[in-house]
Parts: sequence; C-alpha cells; structure tokens
Amino acid sequence: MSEDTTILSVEGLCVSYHGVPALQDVSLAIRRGAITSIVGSNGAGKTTLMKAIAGLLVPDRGSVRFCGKDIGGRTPAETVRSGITLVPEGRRLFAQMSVRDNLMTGAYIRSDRAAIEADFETVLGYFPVLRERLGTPARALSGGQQQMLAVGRALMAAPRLVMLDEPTIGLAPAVVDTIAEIIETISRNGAEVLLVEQNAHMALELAAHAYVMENGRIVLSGSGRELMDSDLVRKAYLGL
Amino acid sequence: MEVFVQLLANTLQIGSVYVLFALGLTLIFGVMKIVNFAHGAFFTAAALVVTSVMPFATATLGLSLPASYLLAAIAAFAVVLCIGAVVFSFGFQYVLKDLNGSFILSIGLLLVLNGIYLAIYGGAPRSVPQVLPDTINIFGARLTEQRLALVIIAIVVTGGLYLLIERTRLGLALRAVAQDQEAAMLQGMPYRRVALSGFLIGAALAACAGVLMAPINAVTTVSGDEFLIKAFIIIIIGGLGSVAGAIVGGLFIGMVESVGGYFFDPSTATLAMFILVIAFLLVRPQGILGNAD
Repeated sequence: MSEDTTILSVEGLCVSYHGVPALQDVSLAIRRGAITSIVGSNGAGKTTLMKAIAGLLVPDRGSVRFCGKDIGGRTPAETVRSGITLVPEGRRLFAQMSVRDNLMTGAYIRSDRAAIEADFETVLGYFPVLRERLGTPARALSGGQQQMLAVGRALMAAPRLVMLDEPTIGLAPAVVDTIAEIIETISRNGAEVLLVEQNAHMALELAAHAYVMENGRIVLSGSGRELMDSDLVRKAYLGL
Repeated sequence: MEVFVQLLANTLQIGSVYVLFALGLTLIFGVMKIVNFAHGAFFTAAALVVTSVMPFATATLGLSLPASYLLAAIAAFAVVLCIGAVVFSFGFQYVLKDLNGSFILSIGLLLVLNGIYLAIYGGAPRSVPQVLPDTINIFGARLTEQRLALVIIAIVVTGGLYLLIERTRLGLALRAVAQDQEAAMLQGMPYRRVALSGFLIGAALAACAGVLMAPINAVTTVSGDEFLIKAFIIIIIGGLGSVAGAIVGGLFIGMVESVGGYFFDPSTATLAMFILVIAFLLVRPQGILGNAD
C-alpha cells in the first residue's frame, strides 16, 4: 500500500494501563476516500486505539503516521491541529453550554471566521434539528440530538480524518440511520472516516475496509463485505 | 428608609469585594479542580504593595493622590501576576485536578508567603490615605466616595469577567475545560495554558480586591486570610465553580454581615454565617446555583 493512498497508518502499536497491556502490536491503515471500520466487543481495545491516535494516551511502542508524518507522542491539541478529530465514546459534550457554544468549541483551533461560519451552516444543514435548539444547553437534548451535536462539533474543526467511537450506541434505529447517512456524507465530502462500532452490521455495511479487534489485537481484516461473510464475524458479531 | 439605604450601601460595599475575591477562587477551582488556600496571599500582596508604593509615589515622586494610587495599583497587579506565574510554574501545574496535592501545596505556600510578608513588612497594621475621602448623602444614608467608587469598580470588573467568560475564545476554553477537561483537549484546547490563564485571572481578581480595600481598611500581612474564610463560605452557599453563585453568595454574605452587624453585633453575624454553611451542607450541598452532577 503506497503512501499516497494511505492517510493514516498505525504500525506495531502497543499501549498498556499500569503495566496491563491494552493494545498489542496493532497495525492498520486508513485509505483515502473510503470509510474504515473497526468492530469488536467491549474491552477489545477499540477506544484505547482511538485515544492513542488522538494523543490522549502515550503508546509504549509503535508508530502513528498521518499524511506521511509521524504524529506519535503529540499532544491532543497538536493532533487536532494536524487534522484529526475524535467523537469520543459517550459523546462528552459540554453539558451546560448551549448547542451553539458546543459547536464553537470544535472550531477552537481555527481563526478563519468566514470559513467557520460556512462550516457552521453546513453542520446545521446536516442536522436541521440542531438549528432550532442553538440556545439550548446540551444536557437538555435527546440522546440522538446529543450524538448529532457531538459529530457536528468534530466537523467544526474542518478535520481531514474524523474518528467516531461508538456513535450509535443506545440510539433508536431511526437515529442510527440518520447518523449512518451523515457518516457517508462526511466521507463523500472529502474527509476520511474511521468508525468504531459494536453495531457490526452498520459498521461493515458502510466500510470499504474493516478490521476486527479482540483482546487488544487485530484478528481479522478485509473489505466490509468479506468480513460480513466470514464465519468469525457472522458468529460473534452479527449473531447469525 | 435611611437605615434600609445605609444597610444596602454597606451590603454592596462589603459584598462587592467578597464577590471579586470569591470569583477568583471559584474560577481557579472550576478550571484546575484545586482549592487554593493561598488565594488570600494574592489579596494581601496587592494590598501591601499599595501601602508601600503609594507613600513613595506621593512623597518621593511628588505625584498627586489619584496618580500615586493608580501607580500603586499597576505595581500591585504586576507583583501578584508574577507571584501567580511563579507558583503555577513551580507548583500548581503539577497538582492539576489533585485535591490532596493542591491542599498540601497551597497551605504550605500560604505559610511561606505570609512569612515573607512578615519579614518584609513587619506585623504592624499599615494604612494609606483615601483617594476620595468626601462623604455623600443618598436618601439620608452616608457613604464615602471611596466606597462608592469601590462598588462601581467591582461591578465593572465583574461585568468584564462575565463578558470574558461568555463572549471570548479564552472564555470558551475556560468553560470547556471546567466542564470536561479531556473533551476540551479533544477540541484542541491546550489544557495547561488554559489552566494558567484561569489561575492568573483568579489571582488578578484577588489583587483587584486587595487594591480596592487597601485605602479602606488597615492592611496587615494576614489581611487576605480573613477573606479566604468568607470566600469559602460564599462558594459553598453559592455553588462551587459557579460564577453566578459567587456573585449571589458574595452579596448574600455581605448582607448577613452588614444587617447582622447592625441589629446584633459582628460576632453574631459571623456565627450566623457558619450556621448557614452547616445548614447548606446538610440541605443543599451543591449550593444555590451549583450543579449536582
């Protein structure tokens, strides 16, 4: 796989919490122009991997390269500035801030006012329901609206890569469909998407390329369709 | 009517200084999740600097009273911001979000700073002349212009802080860090720098209170510590980490002190404050405007 089609590559990444390994020798690549998914059960290390890429955790070994540059050991702020944003598990909105202010925190690293304003309109175009609630504190939104706001906030940074950690957990099926559509739209509009999900069905359907994680390791990879047809995935994640 | 207006004026005057002081303490708590027991030392440093710069400016430089007060205020802010930057860099930045560590550090720092102040200034109370000594009558209540100016400045500073927090990029970062530090970092906010900004703004608020109080009360090397105890009472009643809570709590305690002091005596007013704190901790531990979560 050549550099120009790979936007993010992780090589031999190892992360541990107080000596207990959480990621062991994880390698993966995200290609331009397609959605990449990671599926796996609770505790497989998916969130740890996201946090390590985002700079919230310092890896013991291994490298993370983004657009050809080594970004291992960077702070979260530097990682955001280089173009990677994370929609964290549990959304992690600023509960007491208004919807508008939450979106503006996403644009913290930017100073291009006109472009920020344009992206603000784009995000509200994706999620029209948020436009009616711009002055509402985030904590007063429904779960689905909160997830939309979390995705919108990440897009306000004008990222080149958006990582979404369990964006559909606990949401009603109709809202899951909305989120799925938006993820495809984001990808079509030029940003790369790394989707981490327990909802393997959705994650594999959207993904051009996908990985399966178990116990801190990548155990399987392939196109979304290949993985959907594999025995491991059918038994363990799709319940077939 | 006269009594009512007089008590209102006293409440505003005492309360507005409490508000400034408590705002700094609550801002530092919100952003850094630490309790700064050395906060009173910022107040004291500012007041002491005013008592040494003002006489120097009038006697040696021959400046007018208002000019020398202004010069003293600038010097006081400079000294406090320097102390703040030093104690943050060598101390507080290592105990962010660490209640036990910051407790030990700030108590130790308080002792060290008080010792330094005592070594420099000695134990005798120090005072400076009022810049605006005239008295005015409002509906029969008497108020010195100095105290009126204090209230106006405190209101302007509080309003300015509100705008800073609600309307600026730094304010957005301060609020974000206070609500969810990790999520704030994921938006690209540099936590340590934001924490330093919050800490220095808090220190400057204490300095502002010290500068305003220096011409009104005699200054000693432990002047600020009295305010610290009141400020803890205020933020328990108002709600820890809440800006609006610090304002409401500060004015409320100012009222208890002036009304209680008028109808009973100052020690009864102090007693009432502690009973109020106990009542709040039992019935509404998050305070009037605090968040339970």
